[in-house]
Amino acid sequence: MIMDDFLIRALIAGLGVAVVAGPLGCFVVWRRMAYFGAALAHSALFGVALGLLLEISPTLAIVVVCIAVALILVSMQGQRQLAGDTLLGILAHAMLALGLVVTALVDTVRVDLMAYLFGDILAVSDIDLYWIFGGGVLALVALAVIWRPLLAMTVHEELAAVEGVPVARTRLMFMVIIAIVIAVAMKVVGILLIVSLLIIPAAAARPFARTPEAMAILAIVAGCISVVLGLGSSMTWDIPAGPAIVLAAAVLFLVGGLLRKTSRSYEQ
Amino acid sequence: MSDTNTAAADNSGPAIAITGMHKWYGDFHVLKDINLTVERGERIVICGPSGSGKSTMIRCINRLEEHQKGSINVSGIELTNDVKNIDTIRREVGMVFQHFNLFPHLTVLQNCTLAPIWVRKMPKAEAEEIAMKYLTRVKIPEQAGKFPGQLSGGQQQRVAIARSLCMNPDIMLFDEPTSALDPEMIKEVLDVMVDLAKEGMTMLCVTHEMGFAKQVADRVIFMDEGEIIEQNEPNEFFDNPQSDRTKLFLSQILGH
Repeated sequence: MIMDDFLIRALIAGLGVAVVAGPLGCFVVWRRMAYFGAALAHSALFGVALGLLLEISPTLAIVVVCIAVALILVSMQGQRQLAGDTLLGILAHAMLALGLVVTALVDTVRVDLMAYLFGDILAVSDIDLYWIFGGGVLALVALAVIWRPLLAMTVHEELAAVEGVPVARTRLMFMVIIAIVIAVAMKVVGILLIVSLLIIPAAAARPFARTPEAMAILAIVAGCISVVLGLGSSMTWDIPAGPAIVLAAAVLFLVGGLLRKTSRSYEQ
Repeated sequence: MSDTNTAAADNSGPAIAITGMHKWYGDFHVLKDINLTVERGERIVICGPSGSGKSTMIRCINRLEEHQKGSINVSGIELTNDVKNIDTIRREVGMVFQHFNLFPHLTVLQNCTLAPIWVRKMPKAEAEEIAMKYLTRVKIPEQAGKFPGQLSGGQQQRVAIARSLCMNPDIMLFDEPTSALDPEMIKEVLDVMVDLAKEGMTMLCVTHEMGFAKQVADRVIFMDEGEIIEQNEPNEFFDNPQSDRTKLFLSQILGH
């Protein structure tokens, strides 16, 4: 019965994250922001360390740190000395290193670094579930509010601005949503694998979707299937659950791509 | 630049008044002391070599680029950092870009009604009626139900023009609207722009289509290295250019 409880909690947590990550991941894919997401995720460890240091909720600290890093990145986008990916690389790894250093300095609490880096979905607590569903619902509602302007900006940001879309406000809200999702998804797959939950289900859905909304729904479905398959594989073969979920998503992406290719050759 | 209170558009004065405007990208002085007044209904063609600042100048007019010195007034409203003023000015100014940027998954009609419904909160039926009016004006009402991928480049650019017109702007900015088109599709887009000009729309058009300039422009402006070098009415501009740089540019562009 104990085993059932933690498995059910893990499943609920995983499905909750998949539902939020699907639509958000579509924008990450469309706007080619995978590396941006990775940079924010890498900063999350510093949030964890800060949370432990200040004795506040690590999830809350992650949200704050991710938003701060997102704002720094956005404000530095206009600079012309460094290429965008170089800047992201510097900030991502500097923040990860800072997180590791500060975590090592926190001697009052024993930190399970592996759980933060690769996730510990099987140890999800009731409080984690509250965070995942509270943060998830908040992120989904916010995403629904900015869906149309964000879509317009994704097609052409300047045209959207000309047509009256509040570009700066929408971009800021999008960053905050990413920060929230990274914070709540960290427990499931960990800092180093979070971005995969954003981009792989969305990428798997892309060949089958004709509209952005359809792609968002298919990405949710792909994410949920990955969670179920990943957890099942983890229990069956005694492998780490977080990486198993990501691998299941990658397999779905490959199978989907092959299916689409096969059906296209039939159509021709 | 001084901040002003949020203002309503004033249609009695000039459409655009730019005074002593400068812009820098870092250390690079991209626009130098630009002074330009555009009257209502005036059609202006801006030409010049690549990197001369012509696109940057028109992008400053709707704040896609920020100027650092001088002033820009659009319909009597000064462009400052005031978001409400920027929003009011953007309602006055439509823009057509080099690339069409249509939503591929939406029909032509849906592309045209998108911003009026989403941004202006216009009822769908009214937005569709306006969209059909402008699709007729750009001569493709029969394409309303098709997707952008089913249209030629020229037709897609005409949809982009119709989409911009659906926001009911008083001023239209065109940033090299034909430069991404195959030669055989340029004429159909220029024809639409000629019709718009004849109907009295205030237009600023960055283009190298000198035939269009001769046909519709009230004034042709030549820019080089961030400065307005010369401006004149078309006949005088083409037949009797004053500056050596203008002469060289015209000899290069008309010599082929």
